[in-house]
Amino acid sequence: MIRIDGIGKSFGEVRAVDSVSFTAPDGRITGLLGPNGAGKSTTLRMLYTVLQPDRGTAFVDGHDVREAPLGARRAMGVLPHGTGLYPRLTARENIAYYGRLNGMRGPHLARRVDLLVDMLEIGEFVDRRAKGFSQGQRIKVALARAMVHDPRNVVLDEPTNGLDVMATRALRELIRKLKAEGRCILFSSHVMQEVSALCDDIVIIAHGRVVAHGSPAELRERAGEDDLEEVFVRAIMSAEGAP
Amino acid sequence: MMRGAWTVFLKESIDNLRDRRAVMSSLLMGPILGPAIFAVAMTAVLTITAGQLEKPLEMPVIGGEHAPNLIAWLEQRDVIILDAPADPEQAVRDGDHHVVLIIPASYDEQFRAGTPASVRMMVDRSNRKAQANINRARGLLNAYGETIGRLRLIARGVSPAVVNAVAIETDDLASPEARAALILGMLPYLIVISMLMGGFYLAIDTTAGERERGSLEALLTTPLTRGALIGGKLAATFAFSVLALMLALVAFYLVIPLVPLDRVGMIINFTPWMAMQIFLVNLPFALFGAALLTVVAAFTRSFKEAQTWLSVVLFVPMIPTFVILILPFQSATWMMFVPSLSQGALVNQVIRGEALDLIQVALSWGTTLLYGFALGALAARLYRREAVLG
Repeated sequence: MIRIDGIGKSFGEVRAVDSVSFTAPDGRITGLLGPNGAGKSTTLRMLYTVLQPDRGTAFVDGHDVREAPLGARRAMGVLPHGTGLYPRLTARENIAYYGRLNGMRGPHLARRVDLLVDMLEIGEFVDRRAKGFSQGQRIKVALARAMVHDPRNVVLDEPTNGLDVMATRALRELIRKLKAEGRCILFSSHVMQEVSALCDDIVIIAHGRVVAHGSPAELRERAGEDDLEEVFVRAIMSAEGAP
Repeated sequence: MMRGAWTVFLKESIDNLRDRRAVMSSLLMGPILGPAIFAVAMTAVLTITAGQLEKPLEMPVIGGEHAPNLIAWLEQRDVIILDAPADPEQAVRDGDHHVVLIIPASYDEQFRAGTPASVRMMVDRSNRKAQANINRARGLLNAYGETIGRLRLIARGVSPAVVNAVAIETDDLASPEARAALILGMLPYLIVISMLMGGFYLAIDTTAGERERGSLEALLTTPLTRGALIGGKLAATFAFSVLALMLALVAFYLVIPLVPLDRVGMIINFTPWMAMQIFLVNLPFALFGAALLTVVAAFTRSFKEAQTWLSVVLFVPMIPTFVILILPFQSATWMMFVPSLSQGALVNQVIRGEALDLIQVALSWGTTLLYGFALGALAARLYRREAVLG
């Protein structure tokens, strides 16, 4: 479970994230939706401890990201914005490297990698060097890398960026599989259709604040609007109206 | 923490061993090419300076029949007496002959009368290559004149010693090894360069390269402290520097016996024990160099930028080498506080076959390691900042 509690961050004069609070429970997919520059990535980067929050904090399975960043990172698998692989290592070596960094060794690690290779269907190229992989292949390997230590919580920052239709579909299937295993999934996107097709809960962010939060049905009901896109646009507009 | 650093170390080492360009530059260009160039340059220099001394002096003589005793005396001293060329002046000017000796007809008469018998040397002083032979010919003629002069004094019942009002003796303190060391002065620089070249690509690839590839952010989400991360990366760069140092020493060990140092009367015994001493003296510099390269590379934004800056770093250790060239036989204590200068001075001592002062070695080790660790800590600090993500 991920709980974000009044988190905020400024870069100089700019308040990239004003104050964001929400909870992403286990066994559900939570979508972080917002226009470009709304503060989605900055929120997630504070969550996965690459940035230090100025205000508030976040908890991953009870680990405070400020007090116990190593514990929080151990409880979390992260697919950050860039999915840089090491081009001179094979996909398998890329995945196993992260396993070792998480303290896994020997047959235990090998079995876990084999399992991920099957689950993500990357057997065809897993022993090839990562140089020259397609974007879809890279995302899959990066996801396997993030999942290697079997984390309860999975954080994905705009994972479908640059993927074609088939790859996007495959990724959606995967995310559903992870949810079925009882994990907590938190992912960000600026594409409304993407979020509505996949998420159990939606957190809409604009100008560094949460402007709406609920299941797609709840959001529609609250706004008295059948079209989720209208809900999204209105939520953002209202945030712009407010100071 | 140690396990994490070890994992990073292994990955960076394997990753870079697979990079052909990195291996070429770390383990081939620096450690092998340096000694090769060194050997070729040294052999060329020695062949030019030693070549003329070694060959017997060839000297055309005009009017040799006027001084048969002088000619016989010269021939005894391995001078090859040639017939005069058709146009002696032109021959000297063209450099065909360095010295042409002219004995005028008046020689015999003057010699008998006991007045100075004049001979003439036709030379071209502007010809650099001729200098050695001109000096040899002049030395031989002076020696002949002195010998005859002494015999005449003895014949007149005077001790030859009276003409020597001042006796000049020169004690050449340079042992043959020390003379060789003067020429070998570039060796410390080549060793330092090979270490820096060894770590060059790794320092870039593990910092600026990792950032440019976009793999740094994901790496920072693993449960690994930043200290362990930079420690592992530094250790990999250090290991490649040490590997390059070992290769360079092996290469020098194989190459130095091929350099014809004995031609100029120099002896240099590059023993395995000396190679070992040089290795130990330079070991802390490998750490210092790795930390320096990593810090500079960590400040840069891209692979290219890092390459530009690190090329500048390669020239920095050259500056102390100039000091060694100016003060070749000194290893003052203050030098021990300057990395690369202290290693250079100590390496020179080893090459000269002198015993190392253990206090100086300890100072060199201590200070170089201290700077190395300080730079390593600075690199770790850079990685703790958020700006490291760029």
